[in-house]
Amino acid sequence: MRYLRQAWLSAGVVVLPWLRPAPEQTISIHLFHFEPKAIEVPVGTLVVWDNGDDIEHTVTSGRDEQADGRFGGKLAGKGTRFTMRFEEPGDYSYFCDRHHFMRGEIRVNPSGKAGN
Amino acid sequence: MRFSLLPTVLLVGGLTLAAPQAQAQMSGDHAMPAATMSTGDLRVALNNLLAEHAQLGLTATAAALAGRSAEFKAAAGALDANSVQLSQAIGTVYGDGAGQAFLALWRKHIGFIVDYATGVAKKDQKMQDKAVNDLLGYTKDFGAFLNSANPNLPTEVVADLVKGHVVGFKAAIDAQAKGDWATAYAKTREAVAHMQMIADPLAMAIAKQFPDKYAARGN
Repeated sequence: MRYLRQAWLSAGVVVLPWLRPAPEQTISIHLFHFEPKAIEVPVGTLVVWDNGDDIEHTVTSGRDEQADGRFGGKLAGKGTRFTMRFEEPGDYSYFCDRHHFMRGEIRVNPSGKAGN
Repeated sequence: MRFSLLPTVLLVGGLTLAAPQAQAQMSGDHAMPAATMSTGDLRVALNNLLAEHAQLGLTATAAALAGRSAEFKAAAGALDANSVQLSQAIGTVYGDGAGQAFLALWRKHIGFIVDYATGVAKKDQKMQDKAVNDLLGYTKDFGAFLNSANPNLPTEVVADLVKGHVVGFKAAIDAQAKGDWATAYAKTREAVAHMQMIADPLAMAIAKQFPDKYAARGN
Protein backbone atom coordinates (compact mmCIF):
# COMPACT_ATOMS: atom_id res chain seq x y z
CA MET A 1 0.00 0.00 0.00
CA ARG A 2 2.84 2.36 0.95
CA TYR A 3 4.62 1.65 -2.37
CA LEU A 4 1.43 2.22 -4.23
CA ARG A 5 0.98 5.60 -2.55
CA GLN A 6 4.59 6.59 -3.33
CA ALA A 7 4.15 5.55 -6.94
CA TRP A 8 0.96 7.54 -7.17
CA LEU A 9 2.62 10.65 -5.71
CA SER A 10 5.63 10.25 -7.99
CA ALA A 11 3.35 10.01 -10.98
CA GLY A 12 1.58 13.11 -9.76
CA VAL A 13 4.82 15.07 -9.58
CA VAL A 14 5.55 14.18 -13.17
CA VAL A 15 2.09 14.60 -14.55
CA LEU A 16 0.82 17.65 -12.73
CA PRO A 17 3.17 20.18 -14.34
CA TRP A 18 1.93 18.94 -17.71
CA LEU A 19 -1.60 19.56 -16.66
CA ARG A 20 -0.83 23.02 -15.36
CA PRO A 21 -1.95 25.65 -17.89
CA ALA A 22 0.82 27.74 -19.46
CA PRO A 23 1.15 31.02 -17.58
CA GLU A 24 -0.22 34.10 -19.28
CA GLN A 25 0.27 37.77 -18.51
CA THR A 26 -1.60 40.64 -20.09
CA ILE A 27 -0.11 44.09 -20.54
CA SER A 28 -2.67 46.70 -21.38
CA ILE A 29 -1.89 49.66 -23.58
CA HIS A 30 -4.01 52.55 -22.48
CA LEU A 31 -3.45 56.29 -22.57
CA PHE A 32 -0.17 55.80 -24.38
CA HIS A 33 1.58 53.72 -21.77
CA PHE A 34 2.16 50.06 -21.01
CA GLU A 35 0.49 48.86 -17.83
CA PRO A 36 2.14 47.27 -15.94
CA LYS A 37 5.33 48.88 -17.16
CA ALA A 38 7.60 46.19 -15.71
CA ILE A 39 6.72 42.54 -15.14
CA GLU A 40 8.51 39.47 -13.89
CA VAL A 41 7.25 36.15 -15.23
CA PRO A 42 8.28 32.47 -15.28
CA VAL A 43 9.83 31.04 -18.41
CA GLY A 44 7.22 29.85 -20.89
CA THR A 45 4.82 32.70 -20.13
CA LEU A 46 2.64 33.95 -22.92
CA VAL A 47 2.59 37.75 -22.76
CA VAL A 48 -0.38 39.45 -24.38
CA TRP A 49 -0.37 43.15 -25.20
CA ASP A 50 -3.86 44.54 -25.55
CA ASN A 51 -4.29 47.91 -27.27
CA GLY A 52 -6.97 50.07 -25.68
CA ASP A 53 -6.04 53.22 -27.61
CA ASP A 54 -7.72 54.28 -30.82
CA ILE A 55 -4.36 54.52 -32.61
CA GLU A 56 -1.60 52.25 -33.85
CA HIS A 57 1.07 51.27 -31.36
CA THR A 58 3.92 48.81 -31.71
CA VAL A 59 5.64 46.43 -29.36
CA THR A 60 9.27 46.63 -30.48
CA SER A 61 12.03 44.91 -28.55
CA GLY A 62 15.04 47.06 -27.79
CA ARG A 63 15.92 50.16 -25.85
CA ASP A 64 16.86 53.79 -26.44
CA GLU A 65 14.70 53.79 -29.57
CA GLN A 66 16.91 51.08 -31.11
CA ALA A 67 15.11 47.89 -32.14
CA ASP A 68 17.14 44.76 -31.41
CA GLY A 69 15.00 42.42 -33.51
CA ARG A 70 14.21 39.90 -30.77
CA PHE A 71 10.46 40.38 -31.10
CA GLY A 72 7.99 42.91 -32.34
CA GLY A 73 4.54 43.49 -33.67
CA LYS A 74 2.01 46.13 -34.65
CA LEU A 75 -1.26 46.75 -32.87
CA ALA A 76 -3.28 48.55 -35.51
CA GLY A 77 -5.87 50.11 -33.24
CA LYS A 78 -8.27 49.68 -30.38
CA GLY A 79 -8.93 46.04 -29.51
CA THR A 80 -5.91 44.63 -31.36
CA ARG A 81 -3.44 42.31 -29.64
CA PHE A 82 0.09 41.07 -29.95
CA THR A 83 1.32 37.94 -28.21
CA MET A 84 4.76 36.55 -27.51
CA ARG A 85 5.77 33.45 -25.55
CA PHE A 86 9.01 33.90 -23.63
CA GLU A 87 10.91 30.60 -23.69
CA GLU A 88 14.33 31.99 -22.74
CA PRO A 89 15.15 33.48 -19.36
CA GLY A 90 16.50 37.01 -19.36
CA ASP A 91 15.63 40.68 -19.36
CA TYR A 92 13.68 42.08 -22.28
CA SER A 93 13.16 45.78 -22.96
CA TYR A 94 10.68 47.06 -25.46
CA PHE A 95 9.09 50.30 -26.65
CA CYS A 96 6.50 51.66 -29.07
CA ASP A 97 8.19 52.61 -32.30
CA ARG A 98 5.56 55.30 -32.99
CA HIS A 99 5.73 56.83 -29.52
CA HIS A 100 9.22 56.32 -28.18
CA PHE A 101 8.35 57.48 -24.69
CA MET A 102 6.24 54.32 -24.28
CA ARG A 103 8.58 51.75 -22.74
CA GLY A 104 8.32 48.49 -20.86
CA GLU A 105 10.45 45.78 -19.27
CA ILE A 106 9.98 42.03 -18.92
CA ARG A 107 12.12 39.82 -16.67
CA VAL A 108 11.76 36.12 -17.49
CA ASN A 109 12.83 33.90 -14.61
CA PRO A 110 14.37 30.48 -15.30
CA SER A 111 12.83 28.68 -12.36
CA GLY A 112 9.22 29.20 -13.16
CA LYS A 113 9.12 31.86 -10.48
CA ALA A 114 6.71 34.72 -11.06
CA GLY A 115 7.34 38.21 -9.77
CA ASN A 116 4.87 40.94 -9.10
CA MET B 1 -16.68 85.25 -31.68
CA ARG B 2 -14.55 83.99 -34.50
CA PHE B 3 -14.69 80.31 -33.68
CA SER B 4 -17.81 78.21 -33.75
CA LEU B 5 -19.00 76.68 -30.51
CA LEU B 6 -20.45 73.73 -32.41
CA PRO B 7 -17.79 71.20 -31.41
CA THR B 8 -18.37 72.04 -27.76
CA VAL B 9 -22.08 71.41 -28.15
CA LEU B 10 -21.42 68.18 -30.03
CA LEU B 11 -19.07 66.87 -27.41
CA VAL B 12 -20.90 67.65 -24.23
CA GLY B 13 -24.47 68.21 -25.25
CA GLY B 14 -26.81 68.41 -22.32
CA LEU B 15 -24.27 69.24 -19.68
CA THR B 16 -25.15 72.20 -17.51
CA LEU B 17 -22.27 74.55 -16.90
CA ALA B 18 -21.52 75.39 -13.32
CA ALA B 19 -20.77 78.78 -11.82
CA PRO B 20 -17.01 79.30 -11.47
CA GLN B 21 -16.79 79.26 -7.71
CA ALA B 22 -14.19 77.42 -5.73
CA GLN B 23 -15.60 75.01 -3.23
CA ALA B 24 -13.84 72.25 -1.39
CA GLN B 25 -15.88 69.84 0.62
CA MET B 26 -14.22 68.52 3.70
CA SER B 27 -14.90 64.96 4.57
CA GLY B 28 -13.93 63.05 7.63
CA ASP B 29 -14.86 59.73 6.09
CA HIS B 30 -12.58 58.01 3.58
CA ALA B 31 -15.63 56.61 1.82
CA MET B 32 -16.41 60.10 0.53
CA PRO B 33 -14.27 62.07 -1.91
CA ALA B 34 -12.15 64.54 0.03
CA ALA B 35 -12.93 67.40 -2.29
CA THR B 36 -14.88 68.27 -5.37
CA MET B 37 -14.32 71.03 -7.86
CA SER B 38 -17.08 72.76 -9.73
CA THR B 39 -17.28 72.27 -13.48
CA GLY B 40 -16.76 76.01 -13.83
CA ASP B 41 -13.55 75.90 -11.83
CA LEU B 42 -12.31 73.05 -13.97
CA ARG B 43 -13.07 75.02 -17.13
CA VAL B 44 -11.32 78.10 -15.80
CA ALA B 45 -8.25 76.10 -14.73
CA LEU B 46 -7.89 74.34 -18.08
CA ASN B 47 -8.59 77.53 -20.03
CA ASN B 48 -5.89 79.37 -18.07
CA LEU B 49 -3.32 76.64 -18.60
CA LEU B 50 -4.02 76.21 -22.30
CA ALA B 51 -4.21 79.95 -23.00
CA GLU B 52 -0.86 80.32 -21.22
CA HIS B 53 0.52 77.54 -23.42
CA ALA B 54 -0.39 79.47 -26.58
CA GLN B 55 0.88 82.77 -25.24
CA LEU B 56 4.21 81.40 -24.01
CA GLY B 57 4.68 79.28 -27.13
CA LEU B 58 4.37 82.25 -29.44
CA THR B 59 6.49 84.42 -27.14
CA ALA B 60 9.20 81.77 -27.45
CA THR B 61 8.98 81.56 -31.25
CA ALA B 62 9.05 85.38 -31.59
CA ALA B 63 12.19 85.52 -29.47
CA ALA B 64 13.80 82.66 -31.38
CA LEU B 65 13.04 84.17 -34.78
CA ALA B 66 14.46 87.53 -33.67
CA GLY B 67 17.60 85.85 -32.34
CA ARG B 68 16.94 86.87 -28.72
CA SER B 69 18.37 83.66 -27.32
CA ALA B 70 18.25 84.56 -23.61
CA GLU B 71 14.60 85.49 -23.93
CA PHE B 72 13.90 82.35 -25.93
CA LYS B 73 15.51 80.21 -23.24
CA ALA B 74 13.44 81.84 -20.51
CA ALA B 75 10.23 81.58 -22.54
CA ALA B 76 10.92 77.92 -23.38
CA GLY B 77 11.50 77.22 -19.67
CA ALA B 78 8.23 78.89 -18.73
CA LEU B 79 6.46 76.99 -21.52
CA ASP B 80 7.79 73.70 -20.20
CA ALA B 81 6.69 74.58 -16.66
CA ASN B 82 3.22 75.13 -18.10
CA SER B 83 3.42 71.73 -19.85
CA VAL B 84 4.36 70.04 -16.58
CA GLN B 85 1.45 71.73 -14.81
CA LEU B 86 -0.94 70.57 -17.53
CA SER B 87 0.36 67.01 -17.25
CA GLN B 88 -0.11 67.11 -13.49
CA ALA B 89 -3.70 68.19 -14.01
CA ILE B 90 -4.21 65.25 -16.38
CA GLY B 91 -2.42 62.95 -13.93
CA THR B 92 -4.72 64.04 -11.15
CA VAL B 93 -7.72 62.92 -13.17
CA TYR B 94 -6.37 59.87 -15.02
CA GLY B 95 -3.39 58.68 -12.98
CA ASP B 96 0.36 59.25 -12.95
CA GLY B 97 1.06 57.01 -15.95
CA ALA B 98 -1.40 59.00 -18.04
CA GLY B 99 0.08 62.27 -16.79
CA GLN B 100 3.59 61.21 -17.77
CA ALA B 101 2.42 60.00 -21.18
CA PHE B 102 0.54 63.26 -21.70
CA LEU B 103 3.68 65.25 -20.87
CA ALA B 104 5.77 63.30 -23.38
CA LEU B 105 3.08 63.65 -26.05
CA TRP B 106 2.57 67.35 -25.34
CA ARG B 107 6.30 68.10 -25.44
CA LYS B 108 6.45 66.30 -28.77
CA HIS B 109 4.15 68.83 -30.43
CA ILE B 110 6.14 71.70 -28.94
CA GLY B 111 9.24 70.13 -30.48
CA PHE B 112 7.52 70.04 -33.87
CA ILE B 113 6.53 73.71 -33.51
CA VAL B 114 10.16 74.54 -32.73
CA ASP B 115 11.18 72.54 -35.82
CA TYR B 116 8.76 74.57 -37.92
CA ALA B 117 10.03 77.89 -36.52
CA THR B 118 13.60 76.75 -37.13
CA GLY B 119 12.70 75.84 -40.72
CA VAL B 120 11.17 79.30 -41.19
CA ALA B 121 14.21 81.00 -39.70
CA LYS B 122 16.53 79.01 -41.96
CA LYS B 123 14.19 79.42 -44.95
CA ASP B 124 14.32 75.63 -45.20
CA GLN B 125 11.08 74.60 -46.91
CA LYS B 126 11.79 70.89 -46.51
CA MET B 127 12.18 71.28 -42.77
CA GLN B 128 8.98 73.32 -42.59
CA ASP B 129 7.04 70.72 -44.59
CA LYS B 130 8.28 67.90 -42.40
CA ALA B 131 7.33 69.78 -39.25
CA VAL B 132 3.83 70.47 -40.61
CA ASN B 133 3.42 66.78 -41.52
CA ASP B 134 4.63 65.74 -38.08
CA LEU B 135 2.18 68.15 -36.49
CA LEU B 136 -0.71 66.85 -38.57
CA GLY B 137 0.19 63.28 -37.60
CA TYR B 138 0.39 64.42 -34.00
CA THR B 139 -3.20 65.69 -34.05
CA LYS B 140 -4.39 62.09 -34.55
CA ASP B 141 -2.24 60.88 -31.66
CA PHE B 142 -3.53 63.58 -29.39
CA GLY B 143 -7.12 62.87 -30.42
CA ALA B 144 -6.58 59.19 -29.66
CA PHE B 145 -5.05 60.00 -26.29
CA LEU B 146 -7.98 62.10 -25.16
CA ASN B 147 -10.47 59.60 -26.58
CA SER B 148 -8.81 56.84 -24.60
CA ALA B 149 -8.99 58.97 -21.51
CA ASN B 150 -12.54 59.99 -22.07
CA PRO B 151 -14.97 58.43 -24.55
CA ASN B 152 -16.96 61.69 -24.52
CA LEU B 153 -14.14 63.14 -26.65
CA PRO B 154 -14.24 61.63 -30.16
CA THR B 155 -10.78 61.13 -31.67
CA GLU B 156 -11.50 62.93 -34.93
CA VAL B 157 -13.18 65.92 -33.30
CA VAL B 158 -10.23 66.43 -30.95
CA ALA B 159 -7.81 65.95 -33.86
CA ASP B 160 -9.62 68.69 -35.81
CA LEU B 161 -9.51 71.05 -32.85
CA VAL B 162 -5.79 70.47 -32.42
CA LYS B 163 -5.35 70.96 -36.16
CA GLY B 164 -6.88 74.42 -35.66
CA HIS B 165 -4.29 75.04 -32.93
CA VAL B 166 -1.47 74.02 -35.26
CA VAL B 167 -2.74 76.13 -38.18
CA GLY B 168 -3.13 79.14 -35.88
CA PHE B 169 0.41 78.79 -34.56
CA LYS B 170 1.77 78.42 -38.06
CA ALA B 171 0.06 81.64 -39.20
CA ALA B 172 1.41 83.55 -36.19
CA ILE B 173 4.94 82.21 -36.68
CA ASP B 174 4.88 83.08 -40.39
CA ALA B 175 3.89 86.66 -39.53
CA GLN B 176 6.55 86.88 -36.81
CA ALA B 177 9.18 85.76 -39.30
CA LYS B 178 8.13 88.47 -41.76
CA GLY B 179 8.17 91.14 -39.08
CA ASP B 180 4.49 91.76 -39.78
CA TRP B 181 3.73 92.52 -36.15
CA ALA B 182 0.13 93.66 -36.60
CA THR B 183 -0.71 90.29 -38.14
CA ALA B 184 1.52 88.42 -35.71
CA TYR B 185 -0.30 89.81 -32.68
CA ALA B 186 -3.74 89.40 -34.27
CA LYS B 187 -2.87 85.75 -34.94
CA THR B 188 -1.49 85.40 -31.41
CA ARG B 189 -4.80 86.60 -29.99
CA GLU B 190 -6.64 84.13 -32.22
CA ALA B 191 -4.34 81.32 -31.15
CA VAL B 192 -4.89 82.12 -27.48
CA ALA B 193 -8.68 82.37 -27.98
CA HIS B 194 -8.70 79.07 -29.88
CA MET B 195 -7.44 77.22 -26.85
CA GLN B 196 -10.88 77.67 -25.36
CA MET B 197 -12.15 75.38 -28.11
CA ILE B 198 -10.02 72.63 -26.60
CA ALA B 199 -10.23 73.57 -22.93
CA ASP B 200 -14.03 73.82 -22.75
CA PRO B 201 -14.88 70.45 -24.31
CA LEU B 202 -12.10 68.82 -22.29
CA ALA B 203 -13.34 70.30 -19.01
CA MET B 204 -16.94 69.44 -19.71
CA ALA B 205 -16.13 65.92 -20.87
CA ILE B 206 -14.13 65.31 -17.68
CA ALA B 207 -16.98 66.67 -15.59
CA LYS B 208 -19.41 64.41 -17.43
CA GLN B 209 -17.14 61.41 -16.89
CA PHE B 210 -16.62 62.09 -13.18
CA PRO B 211 -19.77 63.77 -11.94
CA ASP B 212 -18.86 62.97 -8.33
CA LYS B 213 -15.55 64.82 -8.57
CA TYR B 214 -16.60 67.74 -10.69
CA ALA B 215 -19.95 68.89 -9.55
CA ALA B 216 -22.13 71.17 -11.63
CA ARG B 217 -23.26 74.01 -9.39
CA GLY B 218 -25.57 76.82 -10.28
CA ASN B 219 -26.55 77.71 -13.82
